[in-house]
Amino acid sequence: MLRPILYDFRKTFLSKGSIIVIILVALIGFALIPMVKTSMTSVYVEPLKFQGILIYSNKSLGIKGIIFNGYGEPLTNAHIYLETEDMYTGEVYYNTTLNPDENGFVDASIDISNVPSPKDTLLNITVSYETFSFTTKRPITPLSSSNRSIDQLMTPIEYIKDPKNSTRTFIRIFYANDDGGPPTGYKIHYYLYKLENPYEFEYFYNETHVFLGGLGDKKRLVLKASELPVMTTLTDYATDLDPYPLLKENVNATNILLVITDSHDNILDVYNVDTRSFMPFIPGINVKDMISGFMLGVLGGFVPIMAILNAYFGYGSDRVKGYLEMVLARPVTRLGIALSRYISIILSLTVAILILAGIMNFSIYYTLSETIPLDVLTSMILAFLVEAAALVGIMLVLSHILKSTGSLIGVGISIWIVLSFFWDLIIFLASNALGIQLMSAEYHRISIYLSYLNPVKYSSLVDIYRRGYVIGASGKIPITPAYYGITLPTLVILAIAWITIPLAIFLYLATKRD
Amino acid sequence: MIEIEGLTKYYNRKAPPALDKVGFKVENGEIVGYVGLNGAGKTTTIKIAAGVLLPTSGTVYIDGYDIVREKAKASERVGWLPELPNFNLNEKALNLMMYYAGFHGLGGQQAEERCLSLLKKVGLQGYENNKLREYSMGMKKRFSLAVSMISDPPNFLFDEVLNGLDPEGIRFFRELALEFKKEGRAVLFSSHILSEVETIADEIVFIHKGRIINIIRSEDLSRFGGLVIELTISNIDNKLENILESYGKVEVSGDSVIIYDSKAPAYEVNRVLVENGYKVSSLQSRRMELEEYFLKLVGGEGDA
Repeated sequence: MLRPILYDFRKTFLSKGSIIVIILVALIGFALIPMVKTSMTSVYVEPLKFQGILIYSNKSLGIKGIIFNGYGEPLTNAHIYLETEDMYTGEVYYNTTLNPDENGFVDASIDISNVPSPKDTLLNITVSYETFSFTTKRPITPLSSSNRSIDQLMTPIEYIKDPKNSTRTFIRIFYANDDGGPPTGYKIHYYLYKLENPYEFEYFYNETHVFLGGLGDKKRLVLKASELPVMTTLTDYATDLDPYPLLKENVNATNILLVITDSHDNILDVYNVDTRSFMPFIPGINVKDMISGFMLGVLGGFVPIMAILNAYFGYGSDRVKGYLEMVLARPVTRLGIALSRYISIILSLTVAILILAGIMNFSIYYTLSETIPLDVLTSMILAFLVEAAALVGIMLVLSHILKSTGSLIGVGISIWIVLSFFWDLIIFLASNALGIQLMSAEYHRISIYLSYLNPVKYSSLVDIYRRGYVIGASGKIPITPAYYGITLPTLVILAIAWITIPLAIFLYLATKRD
Repeated sequence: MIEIEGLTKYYNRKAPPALDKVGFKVENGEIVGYVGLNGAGKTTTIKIAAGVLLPTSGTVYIDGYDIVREKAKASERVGWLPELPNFNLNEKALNLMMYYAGFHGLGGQQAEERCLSLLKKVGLQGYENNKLREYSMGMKKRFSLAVSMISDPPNFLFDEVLNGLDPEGIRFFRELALEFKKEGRAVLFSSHILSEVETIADEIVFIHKGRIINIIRSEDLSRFGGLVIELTISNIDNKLENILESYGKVEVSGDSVIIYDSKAPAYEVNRVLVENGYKVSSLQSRRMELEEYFLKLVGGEGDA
């Protein structure tokens, strides 16, 4: 019997449907490499940023600013909406919409001579680009803390990504002279230091010195701005700074102090920057989590259809077309043929799943330099095999009930679609009928209990058991699997049931019915 | 030897049985013709004997092995040639045959040699690696024959095997059946065309609507059937049939009268007719043809 089993295995494994699914899943596995790679190195690139200044005078309010994206690229199609309003009554005195020039620069002046009470008047600035927008509100008179005739809108220090390497972060400084013109003779000094005790950290400055506290042993450091090394001289409103050469000077530094001085070395502003802002993004990915999500998503989606096609090509088609009659005429029992075909189909699926798991493993190794943890691999492969065995059994039973290949493959694919893609709808409808609120604990309970009735959900149950959470609308929701009836014994019993019940019915039909 | 005992088969309990307590045997070195109209139950009987279908009750013994309870042993000893061989047409002949050989315990070089020699024997040399979809009906039947001979079985089931064959093919299979007989094998040879089997069969089993209606040995074939008397009578009237009914089954058409299975010789019938005033212008008597007899048995339903 071994030779026929090997022949059937080869025939099933090399059937068109099986090969197509294996190639498809393999391609998806490979295609996911860049996606995983991207997710590993991905950074959040803010879509819309704005830096600017307000230039105060009695009669007008000047606005200069720049609108750009997270790469520092100008957004010329953005809009900036300006509005002056009474902060108490909401009465709007003036409004206008501006578009930036080709450099993303905005330069405007608002007449405020007619504003009845400037102290009670706000300037609303709304910056928008397509679906992104934000609004900031400022008094139209200088803030009391400012001793300059200009005031910063938003922060003068922004982080932008290196357009050529998203793991690198640059600093963009938007700054102006006191008269609102481009900075002249302004310098940026820097100081690298290691912060020992963040809770005691403090800094303040006067015209010439910066005082730093919380650097350990309660010592306070006094820095003379003019003696600090110069990072760059500001010559334009917007200046991009590359911090990486500085970071090499002191790899232990946790912070950079940026001190902006005018041409007389008087301190204008001091900014403390955390060096972690410039570290490449290292996501806290749990490899087990990612892998099992990865495998569940890709393999879990295709194992059922692979099982259905293997069962169709390995038995159903031969049975319905009558090819099995010539085999039945051989010196072999009906039970022998049924078991030999079943074993060869399961063998074929096992090999296919192992190959695909190998491809996934390779993909993960290539991406993360890590392999799939053995416990994850084993449990997921076993879970998929249970799913596959159950669906194979169901298909083999259908092979003895349905009379045409079209109806057999059609029903098989329908089963796959319903169990894989419409199951959540069934749960939704069942919950609705029972008056259970969506995404409540009861909803998850119903969802889990109904999963016991769906062989395609077996791997999900194993995953919940292993990881201890369900996926809700807001992401992972930790649960105690046993509280929802998911224990090792129940999973084993369920596996045995899913494997044996369809198989037993199939064997009965194959041996007792024509 | 093939022994069919009380074979009953229901496809559907609401419908009459396809086979109703069918029983006969095929001795070694004997060809038994199995004759019946389409749908009479021939193929069902043969499929059960081949182990392809399950009987509802009764069984078939192949050399004493029950095809249901001792299927593997029984199947090893019987070769089946279906009317329409049904193979996966995308397979290459040799590959598929080696797969079947695997069930007979043959593998590797041994299986390949056996399969190649059988394919050569049935005239398929040079087509071993062709896909079966490239085979004609005759080639498929020869392939089916080769497959049935893998285990060199002492019993064969030929199911309407001559259907769809050209004269050369018909001759090939007829001679093959006779060769098998000569070799001492038992051959059950079914057909719905009586003339195909009457020349080679040692015994003919007639089946109709799932029941055996007659079994005729070859030695009875020469003196087969009842007496048929054909008469031409110019003054036929309504009383004629009443007079002749007591002699056999009467058919009247124009001035022609035929009496089937006549219980009296022709001269006696003639005497009675003349005494009753009928003018008999011609009279002829002969033995009934086998085919004619068969049609009479089945009530004139077919064209066998």
